[in-house]
Amino acid sequence: MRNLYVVGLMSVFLSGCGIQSIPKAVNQVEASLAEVDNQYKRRADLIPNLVKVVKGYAAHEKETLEAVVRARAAATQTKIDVGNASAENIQQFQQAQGALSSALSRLMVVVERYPDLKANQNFRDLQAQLEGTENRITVARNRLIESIKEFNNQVTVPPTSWTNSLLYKHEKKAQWTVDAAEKEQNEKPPEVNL
Amino acid sequence: MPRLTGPVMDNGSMFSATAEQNTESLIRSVYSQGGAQVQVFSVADLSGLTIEQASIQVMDNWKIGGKDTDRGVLLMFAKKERKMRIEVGQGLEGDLTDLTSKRIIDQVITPNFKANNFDQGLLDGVTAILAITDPKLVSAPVTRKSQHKRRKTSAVGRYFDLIFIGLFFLSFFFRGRGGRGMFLGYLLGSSMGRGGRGGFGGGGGGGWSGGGGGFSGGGASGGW
Repeated sequence: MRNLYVVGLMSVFLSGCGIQSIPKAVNQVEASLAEVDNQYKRRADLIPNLVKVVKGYAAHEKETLEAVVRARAAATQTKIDVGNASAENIQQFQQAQGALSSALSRLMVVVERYPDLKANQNFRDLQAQLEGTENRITVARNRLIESIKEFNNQVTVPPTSWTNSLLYKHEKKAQWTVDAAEKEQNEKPPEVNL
Repeated sequence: MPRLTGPVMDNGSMFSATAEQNTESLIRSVYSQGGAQVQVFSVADLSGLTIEQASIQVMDNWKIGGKDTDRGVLLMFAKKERKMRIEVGQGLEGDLTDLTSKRIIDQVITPNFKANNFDQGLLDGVTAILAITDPKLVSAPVTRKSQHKRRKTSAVGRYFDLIFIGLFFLSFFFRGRGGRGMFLGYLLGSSMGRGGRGGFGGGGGGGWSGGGGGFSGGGASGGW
């Protein structure tokens, strides 16, 4: 009976001090990061088909198309190691994906000039899939930001921060930030040259 | 965030009571047979959010769909912004893809909404979603092209067969369990309008709540 009390008391203590919640927060951040990575991969998989369809109608937009292909290649080469991603690793990943985002949005601006392309069912399907994927990326990123915030709370706010400094010794993680180029893209509407 | 009260929550007052009720019986009958959990939600305006931001917030709160199966779908409308979105639960992403969702919005709902047939758009939209998620229980709505000859038939008329057959089977089900006269009760219930529903417990008016379904931003958006 006494053993039972001890176990009961221990579990009350332990559940509040971070011995469980800190590793859980770490796992959550890793899972969210994996999801972000997964959704970016999904986007990269759509791009070859998109480029092919656009080429059929707008072959002389060579520069814009090539920029997308190059950015995609760079983005797929920048891999992220979800288990122990360093701050620089994450930053490079963000930059590569951000560059692809801006290349893609430039392509979508160019596409506006080709009504035949915009009416093409193949293109519309790809556009719907791309929009869907961009939304998934946004959702995944928001969840990652939330989970990093939760992790940082765990390692900086007492009492869990005391457990962290005694046992786990995790450092605060850098928050996921939207890449500068992408931010610019989001804030100012793309220029349409007619 | 409003409290989840039923499968069709028309907070933006976009649909008639009859359409809401028909949609609700369809959703409930599919859900009670083990199908997907569809939620309809309309709002008057989005107060500055995008429809994608709003719909994921709503689903993170209501968690439509089962915890393990994640078979939930939200069909959301914003009246003032004239925007809509199908938000797809993780368990349905393979069937109701972003592309399928987009097609339902573009080819089934939007043409009706543009012609001010909001009721028809709602019912067709929900039917189209259920025809994808549970093809054994629901067949796809008649699209505009094939619909030309029989456009005059009303919403109730077009779905009456389906609802009738569903109720017929349900009545057997309940009779088997000792509930007598459920079938008649159903018919009365559907002809008595809104007020008549509550009385028939167990059949259609039961509780409605989310089961912990997860969403990760799948689906599509559109406008009218």
